[in-house]
Amino acid sequence: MKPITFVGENLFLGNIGHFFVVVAFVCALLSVIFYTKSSKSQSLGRVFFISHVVAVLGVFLTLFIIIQGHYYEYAYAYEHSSNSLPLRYMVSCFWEGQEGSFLLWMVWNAILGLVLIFTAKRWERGVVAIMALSQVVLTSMILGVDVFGVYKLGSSPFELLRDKMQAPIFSMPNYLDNVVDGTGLNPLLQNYWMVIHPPTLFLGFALTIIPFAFAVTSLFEKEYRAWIKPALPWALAGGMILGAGIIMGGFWAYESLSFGGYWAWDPVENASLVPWLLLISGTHLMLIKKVTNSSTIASYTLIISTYIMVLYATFLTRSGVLGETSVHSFTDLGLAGQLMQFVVLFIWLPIIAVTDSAAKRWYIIIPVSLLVLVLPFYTRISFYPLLIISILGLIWFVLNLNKNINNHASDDNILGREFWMFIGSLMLVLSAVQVLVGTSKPVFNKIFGTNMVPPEDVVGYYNIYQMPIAIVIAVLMAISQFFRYKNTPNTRKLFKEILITLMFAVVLTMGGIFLFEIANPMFVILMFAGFYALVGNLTYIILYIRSVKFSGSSIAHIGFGLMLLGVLVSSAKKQVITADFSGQMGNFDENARRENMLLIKNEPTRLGDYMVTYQGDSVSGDDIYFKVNYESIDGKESFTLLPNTQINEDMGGILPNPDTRHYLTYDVYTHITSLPKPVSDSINWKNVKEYPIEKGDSIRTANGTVIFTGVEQSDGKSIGLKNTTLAKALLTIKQGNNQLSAAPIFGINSNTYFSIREEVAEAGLRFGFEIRPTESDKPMAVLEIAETTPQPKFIVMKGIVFPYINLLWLGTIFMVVGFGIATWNRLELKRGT
Amino acid sequence: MKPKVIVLLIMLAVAIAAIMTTYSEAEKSSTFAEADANPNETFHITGFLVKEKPMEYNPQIDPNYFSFYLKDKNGNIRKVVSTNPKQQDFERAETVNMYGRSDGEVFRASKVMPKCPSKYKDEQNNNSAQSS
Repeated sequence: MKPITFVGENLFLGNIGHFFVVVAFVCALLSVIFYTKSSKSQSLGRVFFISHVVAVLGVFLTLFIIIQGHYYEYAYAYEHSSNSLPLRYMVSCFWEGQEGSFLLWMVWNAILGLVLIFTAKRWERGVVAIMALSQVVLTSMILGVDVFGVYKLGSSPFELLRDKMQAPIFSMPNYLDNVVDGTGLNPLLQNYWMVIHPPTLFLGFALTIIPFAFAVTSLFEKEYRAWIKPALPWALAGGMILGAGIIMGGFWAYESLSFGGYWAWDPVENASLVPWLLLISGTHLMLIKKVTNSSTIASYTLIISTYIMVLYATFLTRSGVLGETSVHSFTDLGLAGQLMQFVVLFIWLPIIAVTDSAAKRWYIIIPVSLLVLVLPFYTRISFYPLLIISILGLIWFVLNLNKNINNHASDDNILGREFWMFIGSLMLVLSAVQVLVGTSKPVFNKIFGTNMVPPEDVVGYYNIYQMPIAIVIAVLMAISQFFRYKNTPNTRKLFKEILITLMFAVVLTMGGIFLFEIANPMFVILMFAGFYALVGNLTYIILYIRSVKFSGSSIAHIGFGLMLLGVLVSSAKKQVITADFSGQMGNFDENARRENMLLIKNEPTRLGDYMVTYQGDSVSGDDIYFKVNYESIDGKESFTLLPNTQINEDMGGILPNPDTRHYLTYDVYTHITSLPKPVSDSINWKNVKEYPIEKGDSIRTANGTVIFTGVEQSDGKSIGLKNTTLAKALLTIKQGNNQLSAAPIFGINSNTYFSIREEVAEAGLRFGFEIRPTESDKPMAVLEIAETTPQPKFIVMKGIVFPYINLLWLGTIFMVVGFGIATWNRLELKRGT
Repeated sequence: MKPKVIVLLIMLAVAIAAIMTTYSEAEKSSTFAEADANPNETFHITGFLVKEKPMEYNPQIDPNYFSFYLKDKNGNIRKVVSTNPKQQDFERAETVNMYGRSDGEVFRASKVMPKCPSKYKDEQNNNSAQSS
């Protein structure tokens, strides 16, 4: 077969992009080699890392040009963008696909690596080498190279559309003439939060490798304490950015997904929460290690697990293993094996680091390398040995580390702050483990061939564990800071502080019970814990903090207390104002939720404290906006919400987006749950009558009065006809308070005439218009009217009032600010020496 | 024993308990016959949507009433009733996952999760992927 010469393709961009990917891969690999070889070749390692950074930026820029320039010969541009996409969402195209989001992660890693080259000083060799190693793996994910024809290494973002899709059209040399527009960006991602949430989250992910790299380097160098100081600011920054990224995702879900909340315990959300919980736990343990020189093994284990969990999360969300259990995981690109290699590699790196003799290291490296090589072929079978080897590896790690450190048995003093911090850290681990266990069900199913399904009440399943854990954590937050490290000499003062703050918290809780009307004992305890954390840390700031610099932890803890209160009140007291308890189904289950309400156009319905009216809809592109007016019963406020639905065949027909009115103390949230079916062809029109009409005439029909307000003349271009004159009859239909309009058309061209009827299903009327010649000079206008049962317009919607949800957002702001202050303080302390 | 160790052991016990309950309570797909036998218990049933039988959702009569027919793995066909509105693409579903209980006559579903087939199969629909 003769090769086809395709017309109009720009192959240069793809070639240069691919070239950059290969350069990035090779440079990262060389950087690892030269960094680890000897301290003499360190500068070469550095040179290659910097070249790698340049190449990664090159890849990023090339892909951006392809998307921005609408080069649809590339599958990535075709699948993730379209001509009409506004510029501000062009960057979002990057993270809609797996390749682009790997790239985003790589860019952050590259920038952070660059910073560390100049700041890590004597740690540079190990730390940057480990970062370069992760870059090798990440770059391999977008390499898109066939390895000896055995398996595909990575998936290239520069793949051509004609290579990716098998269709006869791609054998035409000029196929590009038919590919004029991309399939567009998922409408859910066309949201302000989706522009900044993924980059923030990936920066958080990228930051977690830095404490990991410091920890592993220190294991190689047997510096079990010195790594803490330089790694601490990075760990805190990671906690801040990752936390902010997660909560932005929650805010996006609240603003644009229609499950009615900010957190659904979805596997993808959980996958990013687990590393965050571990990172926070690890950061506290690092602090303990720094001040008291205890908790060595615990701090190592947690900081290392954090990064492993970031990789595991990557595996979960990108390998396709989650399947239907998540509404928003990535499409499977066939990278499952490669992603598993990524996890295994980084599990074994610290294990090799704690192994002393070179011979023993080879015992580990050889079987693991073999396992890593076969992983892509036998993903399912490899789970078993992988699981067993990982558990053995963990035991090996702990035993070896224990042997290496001079384990001076420190007594646990329950009067030492570190004791309570340690327990708090363990509680965070417990929380993470429970989330991990629940989220890993699909993996468990894959391994054991079981068919477990998500629980009926997903939120309840997690809350039943997470609520008591949160209570303990909040109480520990309230009291721990009043203890001194190692020992608290003045116990009387300590107990006084703890008790007085406790009493304050109890008083506030009583107030809260009345204000928020909360009676459930578990919720009351949770509220108390939230208040206790708040009061305890506020008191600590007042009594002990003399400089903003040292207030970071207390402010972050206050943030957590506020978040607890916000979560508690907004979910416990959320009011589904569309709930209907009357029930048409008689003795239906009392617990069954009847949460949807039908609103007929222009018929006010009382919902909660509002009279709510559906006033009509407007179409804008693929979106239909529904005008829903809220007027409070006391007449004090009135506002209009515009929930919309988007027609999207790929996403299953209709995609609803909520709209929310924000007030200081509550939010009113509304989304569409069902719409009337489009008007069918099978309407039975009857009583067809003709009326000769003149301007100003009104005609009474069974379905209201029709007023003929005049004729509008235009040419046929508006409906695509040449040499045609159109006459549009302008009609107003009055039905009680409701006013509608219609405009049937009569058209004439040189040799024929026609009429275009208009059906107004809402009014139950159909109109036809004609202008007939008469014997006199004046032609006669004739209106044909047909009647049927009116089909009123309606929407089925759900309305929810979330009280005090702003406490949650305020709490997250406090937390982020607290982390920020702590990071700044630790940076200063680090520089101070 | 050191207090730390005690706390550690308690937490280990809680963690193991959490894992055990998660994986032992995890319900497997059941049948209508089993649900009939235990009318007050919630069951998880996976079945095929019977497209020949009517699917009823008339929001003008009741926006919180949706019914359809499902065939379970034993081949029994049963009417299923839910208080949630019909999902827009429900007709396209092949299998349906649901939770609910039987009242002897119909199966009252509290949670209905349709599985649409071709959503990810079609190469052209690849763009339905999204990031977290």
